[in-house]
Amino acid sequence: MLITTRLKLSSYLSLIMSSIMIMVLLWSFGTYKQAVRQDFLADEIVSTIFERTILRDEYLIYGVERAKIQWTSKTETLNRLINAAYEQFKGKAERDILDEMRQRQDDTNGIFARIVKQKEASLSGAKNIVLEQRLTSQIIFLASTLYADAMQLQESTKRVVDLAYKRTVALSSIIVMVVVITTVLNSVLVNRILNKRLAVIQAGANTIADGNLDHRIVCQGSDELVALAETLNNMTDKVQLFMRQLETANKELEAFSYSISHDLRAPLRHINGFIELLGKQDTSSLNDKSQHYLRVIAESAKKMGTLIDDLLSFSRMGRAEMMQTSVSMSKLVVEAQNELQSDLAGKNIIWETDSLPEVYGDPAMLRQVFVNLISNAVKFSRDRDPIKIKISCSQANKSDETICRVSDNGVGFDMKYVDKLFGLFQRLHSPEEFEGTGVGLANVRRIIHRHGGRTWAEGIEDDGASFYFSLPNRKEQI
Amino acid sequence: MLKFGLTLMCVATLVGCQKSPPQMKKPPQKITLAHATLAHCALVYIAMAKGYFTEEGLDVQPQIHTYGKSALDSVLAGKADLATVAETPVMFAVLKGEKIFIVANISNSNKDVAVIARRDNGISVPGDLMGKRIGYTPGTSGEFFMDSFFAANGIVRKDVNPIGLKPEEMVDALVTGKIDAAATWNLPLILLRKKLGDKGVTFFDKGIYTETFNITAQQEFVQKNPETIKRLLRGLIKAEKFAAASPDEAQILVATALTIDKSLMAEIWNDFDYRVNLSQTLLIALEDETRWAMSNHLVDQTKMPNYISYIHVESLKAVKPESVRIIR
Repeated sequence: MLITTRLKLSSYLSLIMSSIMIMVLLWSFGTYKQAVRQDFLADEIVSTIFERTILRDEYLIYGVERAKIQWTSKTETLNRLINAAYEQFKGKAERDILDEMRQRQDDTNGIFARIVKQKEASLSGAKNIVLEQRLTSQIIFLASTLYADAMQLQESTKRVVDLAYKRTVALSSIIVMVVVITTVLNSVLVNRILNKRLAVIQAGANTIADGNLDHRIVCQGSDELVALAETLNNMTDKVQLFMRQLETANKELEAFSYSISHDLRAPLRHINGFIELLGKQDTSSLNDKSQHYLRVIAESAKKMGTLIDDLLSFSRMGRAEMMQTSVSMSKLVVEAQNELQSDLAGKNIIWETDSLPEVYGDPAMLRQVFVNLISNAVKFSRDRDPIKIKISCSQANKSDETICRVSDNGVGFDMKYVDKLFGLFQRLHSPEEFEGTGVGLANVRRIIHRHGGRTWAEGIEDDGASFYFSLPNRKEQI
Repeated sequence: MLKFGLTLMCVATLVGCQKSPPQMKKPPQKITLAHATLAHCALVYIAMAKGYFTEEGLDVQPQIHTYGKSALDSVLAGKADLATVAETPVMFAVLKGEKIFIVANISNSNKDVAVIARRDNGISVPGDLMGKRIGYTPGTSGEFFMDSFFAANGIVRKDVNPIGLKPEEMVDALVTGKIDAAATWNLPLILLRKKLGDKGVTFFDKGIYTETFNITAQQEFVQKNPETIKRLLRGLIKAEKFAAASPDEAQILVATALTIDKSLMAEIWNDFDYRVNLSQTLLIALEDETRWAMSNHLVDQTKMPNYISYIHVESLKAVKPESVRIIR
């Protein structure tokens, strides 16, 4: 199921559940409110009966008119409350109580009327004490039972209020728990699915990024993440195809370069040979211009030969097999210095060489790197006295590469041309200023790239230059 | 987690199922209840028919009487443990110095006692009773009602010819014309009304008297058997609930016990309030009737007893506290 579908379903389910729970809670609140109303009504009935009892006693003892009027008014209030109670209370037990109360009300009214009649008759001398006593006893009896009925109603309403309150609290608690549980479950389930899939995709992507272009991400399911995995796999297919095409093109280019260089050398050898022979002949018959032409041809052929040699060497560098072993950088520097003895002789060079680490790589190639970089440093600092050449390497904490640096105090360069530095046959100075074909740094770059590293440079015009290269801290090389 | 829950449930079930060795059930306690064959005793009949007394571990042996005073006399004579009786005979017994307790009121009515008269003897209004022969049962609520009715209608006893009769004699006496009117209660009352039909006229007065019917016993019995009293009351309370919940079925049970037609019972059922309680009105009624008895020289005593001492509230308070509404 798609993640969006799952999330949508989850949202709809939450909405439906929330709606049901809200309705249930509203119903519960409604019943609680009604129970409170009933309770209030029952309280009013009890209170009215009590007040009427006091008024009754006042009238019975003192016969005062005010008490009679108030008693009558309270009776009407009580009748109204009992009628209102009929509207509120629908249960059989409560309605039975109300029926009794109504009957007792009627009886009470009848007896009170007789009491009033007796009191009025006694004023005219026709006192009937026995009857008055009987009527008084009966009205007390009725008031007592009426009060008992009202108390029963009140107890019933209080029980209902309590029940409604507890039910509301319980429902609210259940609702909160259900919401929390479903939210947590939902999050956990979705996260589990997402995390699982994402972990697989991430692991797969890392494997591909590490260079295993044959690896494909296998993801079970039918959601967006599976589609993402498929897309990544498709992308990897294309990258793999391009890489193969690139490798093929590179190989063809390499072969072409080698072939051209190699095949060009033969005719060049002929040119150089015949120029040499021509030079050994009597050239007095040639005028100055012709001799100049001859010298230019000789120099150009020589230069071409150098270019071809360098191109060949550059091509070989790309084709040669690499040897992977632990290499002492310090030893490489010493070997490079030895190889450049002739270039270093007679120069005042101050070497600042830090303790250099061991790296993994091809010793011959890496030695060539130092040869080229030190050779350049000497060449472009030849006007300095002393020449300062600094060689250092660093392995930063948690870094997976070693960065080496060869810097000098030579002529430096303008940083806007830094991108040209490592290009094949790219030169920032004319051959008259500084000799060379511009293949040294190209070779450095090629070697370092074959080791899986990077090359870059920094310089300030007339204030030296620094050349950096990095080597991965691992045994396996690309 | 599920396994743990199931294990816990099993353990709890096993522990719960482990009963202590079954104890020998005590045999039910035998008590004799003298009761009147009246609608007032409906809760007693229901409790007996439904086995509520048995449930409470009581073997209630009924002792039949035609009216409550007779039942109370049996208790006072030591021939019964408890009796069902109206408050009037209780009042007379207390004034005679008897040590009795009322333990509960099981019914009351202000429409049970009436004066029924023969129209064909010239009686159509209460005033026509002057000079007539009126049957009544001395020492009972019938006598009290009769005098109260007279007082309410401006009649004095010497204006009439009161004739003392047992309740079971009332029907025949009025039907055969031996008396012109009778002050009596149900069931004789309803039977007379049916028999006389239009020839009869019944004078009720809800404003002058509410009869209570009560469970009474000698104080010594109550003091020695408080648990027995509680069990009896619990049985009666169960009967009260049954009567409230299933009045039709209750009427059938009572009619069967009284060997009358159910329709008769249905006719008078709502005239009674069948509830187990003790209220201040009982005291008021006892004191009212004491004043009546003293003022009519029916008793020798002149000092009002403290009837609180003759009402045992503790047992009912223990089993149904909300029904005890006597101010103490």
